[in-house]
Amino acid sequence: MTAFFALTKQLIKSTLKPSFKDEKEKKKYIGTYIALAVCLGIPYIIMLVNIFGLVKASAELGCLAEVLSIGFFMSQLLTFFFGLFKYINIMYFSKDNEFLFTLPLKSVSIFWAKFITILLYEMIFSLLTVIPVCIVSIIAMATLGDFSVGILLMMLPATLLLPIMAILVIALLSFPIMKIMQFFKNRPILGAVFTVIFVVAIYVAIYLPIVLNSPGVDGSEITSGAAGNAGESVSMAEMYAALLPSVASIGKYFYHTYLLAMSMTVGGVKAFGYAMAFIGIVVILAALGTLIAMWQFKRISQGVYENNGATAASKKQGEVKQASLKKALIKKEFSSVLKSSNLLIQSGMMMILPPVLIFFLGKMQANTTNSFVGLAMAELIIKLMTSSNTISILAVSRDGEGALMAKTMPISANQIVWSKIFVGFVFSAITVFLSTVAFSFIGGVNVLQVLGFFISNIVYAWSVNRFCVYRDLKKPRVHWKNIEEIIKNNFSSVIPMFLAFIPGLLVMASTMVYGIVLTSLNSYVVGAIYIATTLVVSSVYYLIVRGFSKGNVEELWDRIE
Amino acid sequence: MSEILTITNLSKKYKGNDRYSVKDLSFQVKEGELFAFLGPNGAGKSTTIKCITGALPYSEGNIKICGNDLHDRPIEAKKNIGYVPDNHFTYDTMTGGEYINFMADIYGVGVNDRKTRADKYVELFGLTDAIGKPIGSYSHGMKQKICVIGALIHNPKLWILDEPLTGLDPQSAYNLKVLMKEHCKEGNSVLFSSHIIEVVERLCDRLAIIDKGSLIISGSMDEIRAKNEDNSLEEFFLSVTQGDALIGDESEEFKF
Repeated sequence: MTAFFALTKQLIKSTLKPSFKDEKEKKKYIGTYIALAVCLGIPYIIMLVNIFGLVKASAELGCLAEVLSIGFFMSQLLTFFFGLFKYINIMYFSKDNEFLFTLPLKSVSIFWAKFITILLYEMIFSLLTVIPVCIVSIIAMATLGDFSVGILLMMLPATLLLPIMAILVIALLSFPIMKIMQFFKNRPILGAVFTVIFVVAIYVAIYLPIVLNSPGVDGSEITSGAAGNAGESVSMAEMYAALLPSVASIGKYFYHTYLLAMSMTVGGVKAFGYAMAFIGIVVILAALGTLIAMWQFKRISQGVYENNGATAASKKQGEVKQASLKKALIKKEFSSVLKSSNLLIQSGMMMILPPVLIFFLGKMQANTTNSFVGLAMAELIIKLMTSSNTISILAVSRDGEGALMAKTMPISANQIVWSKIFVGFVFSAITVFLSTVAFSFIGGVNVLQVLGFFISNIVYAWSVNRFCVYRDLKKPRVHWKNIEEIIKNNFSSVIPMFLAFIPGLLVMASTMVYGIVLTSLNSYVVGAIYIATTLVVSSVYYLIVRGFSKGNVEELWDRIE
Repeated sequence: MSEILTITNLSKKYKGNDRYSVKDLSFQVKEGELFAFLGPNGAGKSTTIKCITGALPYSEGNIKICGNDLHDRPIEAKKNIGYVPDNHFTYDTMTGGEYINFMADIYGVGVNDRKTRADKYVELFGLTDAIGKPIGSYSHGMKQKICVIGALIHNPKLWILDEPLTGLDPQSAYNLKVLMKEHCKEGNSVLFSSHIIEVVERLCDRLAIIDKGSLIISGSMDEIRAKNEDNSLEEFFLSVTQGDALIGDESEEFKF
């Protein structure tokens, strides 16, 4: 086997293949995945059923290409969102870089081996989003008597090429991000702030033109347009007829995915032309992007571990101050978080992105449908994002072997764990506050909805941080040399996020129902019902989490080794 | 004896640091030589080794391995090196056997050679029972051993070890020292860093003492003994590296 293939094979294996200490751990892992698949399978099937209806309606209304274009773009956004830090971690922060550069391999080979690994990882997500949507579309079209050969033919190229574009954008954006991080290597807070601002600016740059160009449709127009009188219940078909053409028009703005969608829907020679145009764009961008990425790879990677070797002494002299045990523990937690730029950036992103996404997606929905759809989306976004709080997910692991030292100190484990939940909660609470502010600006929401959103998500934030800290306490990874090791290979982050789908989808679904069914009621009455529902969901979630995370803290802490 | 490693005026400054971590360093390692790199903590030993292995870029100077300049012909140069880092990096999800195979693939070692060498070293280091287990389950010492096997699988001309004896049990430490000597007897060379003077004194043919990034002295043990006017290497080392002299200066009674 050539060196390049040996390396690629190894990187794919170490990134994608889970390793288990024993059979028990393997069974637990498989069990967790089956449970997750069952939990997620239900909303996933519901989503596919909705897509079936959506595709049928859009085909009948003549806007199938636009709808598919939006779907493909969303898939790329997902790849971008989940891939950004995966790319940076595997490409630059991976602890194997220092080792790999000592081997007789060209840096180009190392780059490609890593790039292929990241691509495969992202293609798995792409497979789960693009292929089922395409199959459902083919079935939907078949019920209309149109066997769509275009979708069938382009299904696989779409799955392979859509993530490539997203990863190339990531590859190009990773340079300025790494530059910022390296420039502020001794000031992680500043580095994190600038990085977060930079990434948020990218999101704003993506969403702003869409929001500005999206057509305005008043919520009342939907019901009146569809059923004649506001307040009457409307069928899905009627609602699609009223909404789809205007919503779908956004799809034309995503030029590359629109080309792909056209290649699937127009048929004949034209379809071939669109397909070639799409593939051409991807190939040209791929060639340019990888050239630039390769050129910078070795320099940036070596810069990362060079920084680890060059630690400038702090000029600040230690101050002698006395603090209570609680304050001292909280201070220590904040200090450990604020000293890791990668941890800070990940947490910062989860803090700043929800309000940005809520504002833009909410605004888009408020423009095109009504504010309740925006509210429903906001609920799902905030629940998913607060569940991805790395600070709590790695609450104990990030202490490293310091966690073992803490066992020798005369401190109650309950106090340590409480301080960890509190610090994680502070970051989540800031997210909730900023998201509430963003949410209140999307238009068409009343004070009760804003209040309900804030209170219920504060309860949710405490629950989810508690859950994450307990999960980490049960099985922390304390033996590491560089904190990037545990941030990078952080499977734990997936479970709380997946679990967040349950309350998120519950609140989202109930909110949608209010927005569509209860439109005849006074908006404040609907707001009050919304508060009650979200509070019930958040409180039930808290009680369930409490039940799951009960256990004896002292005993669990004692088990860390 | 031809030169396996030639370092000429090597200087290295870490990004964002004003001072040099290695300054104007020159020395050679010859064929069949066991060369020690001695210095206190933070002297620049690991930085120099990382520059030689290509892990770190260097700002000034030249490094030649078996006649190949590391800048101009990096792949050819690195093919002659077997490196055991101080952090014992390995892929935790791999089994010991997979790691050895992976390293053999990287260096293009044939099936027969890799099998013969792997069997010999696995047995020597007592890893036979552990070879099929994931490296993540290995102890510190076992990881060190698997790194050593990975570095020797292609029988390198220059074997570089950074602080190799840290964490090894006495038997494995002894085996490693024997291996280092055997490797040199076969016409190859070994460069290792250490701050354990006794080990260096007993093991090496030649040594270089480095402090604050600069070479203090280099030569054979006999040459250094001659310059040292009958003092032990330890006393000589302490007198030239100065860093630890404070204790002696301020508290005469603690001298021993």
